[in-house]
Amino acid sequence: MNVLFAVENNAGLDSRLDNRFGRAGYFLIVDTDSETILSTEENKYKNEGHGVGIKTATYVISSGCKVAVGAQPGPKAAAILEQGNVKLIVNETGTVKEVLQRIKDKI
Amino acid sequence: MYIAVASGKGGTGKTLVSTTLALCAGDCSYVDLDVEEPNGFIFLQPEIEKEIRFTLPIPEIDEAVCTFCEKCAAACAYNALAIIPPLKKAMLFPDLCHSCGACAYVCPTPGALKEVDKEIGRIRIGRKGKIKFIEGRLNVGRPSGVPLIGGIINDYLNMDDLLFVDASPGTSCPVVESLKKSDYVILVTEPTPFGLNDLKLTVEIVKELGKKTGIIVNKDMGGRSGIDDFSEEVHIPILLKIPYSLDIQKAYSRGIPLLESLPGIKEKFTALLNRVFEKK
Repeated sequence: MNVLFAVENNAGLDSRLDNRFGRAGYFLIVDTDSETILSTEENKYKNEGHGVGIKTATYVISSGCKVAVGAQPGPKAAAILEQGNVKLIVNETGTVKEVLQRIKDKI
Repeated sequence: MYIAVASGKGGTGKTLVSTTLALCAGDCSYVDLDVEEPNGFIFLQPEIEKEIRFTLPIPEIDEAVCTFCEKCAAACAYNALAIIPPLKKAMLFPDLCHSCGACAYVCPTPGALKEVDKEIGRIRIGRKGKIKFIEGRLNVGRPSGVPLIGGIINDYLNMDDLLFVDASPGTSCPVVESLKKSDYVILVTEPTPFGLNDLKLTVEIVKELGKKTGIIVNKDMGGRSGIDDFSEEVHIPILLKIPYSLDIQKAYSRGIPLLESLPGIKEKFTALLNRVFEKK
């Protein structure tokens, strides 16, 4: 299954989850079965003044991922993700590799 | 003549001063541009003749016609629109919309996006004797009163009239909007460290705007304070000191204007007004 991770740095499976969703450093799409990274995208919206959550949430939906892992998005982004039936996992910290082990049976 | 009454710190006496000025002058307009919490009506007790809905255009998207090309969302500088092609969904976040019209301008699909009027506040117009009363009142939950303030100044004020404009407290955009077209700015402050600090911030704005300015010290305890020193330093005169008085406060809390609660104040305000008129 393809899962999107909102992370702060670009270090593959060792990237750490960002403590912000809309302004996360990078978005990784990970295939949870093979534990490989399918794509790494720098968050080009993170330094914008307004509506960053809206832009990133729209991006998440376009990515096709049905599960997103990261910090709690703001209300506007959460409303968009809900429209797209994206499941959010927001209470995790640590690296993608660590989080993958913990959430594998949840998704 | 447009005389704005402003202050950095809240609760220093803008409404006390502006309503007293209006009552002293008689033939004038009192304009309440403290749109987030207008309260001049409590003291003037005007008869309201009309109430006007103040609206701004916001986009409305017909999802049955929209092709989800995302041009509107890309044009929006405030990211107020979310277009989600895979879901065939268009979402507007009205709090972020600044009513600039860019989305409607770029939309290539006829009938997909139209602008509709959304009420952001009300303008109340009335009269108290010879005083014309104009008030802006922002609807609860609206993020910015600036369009309403600008709308009143542009469309509802006669610049040939004698206008007393009650601005909102602080030093942010609504205050700047209220001061822009003024001929004279009266800054109301109080002799406290906060009063002085916020007076300094407001003086920076009036200097930037290049406005003729005077200071009124309210709740004056007698003797000199830091405001006297600052006034001399920046060459902005203190026009009047209103004494600290429990009687004034008691009357004010019952909505009784200063003219009735402080004997002899009418002469002082009239002298102050003559001094301001000379500056025009």
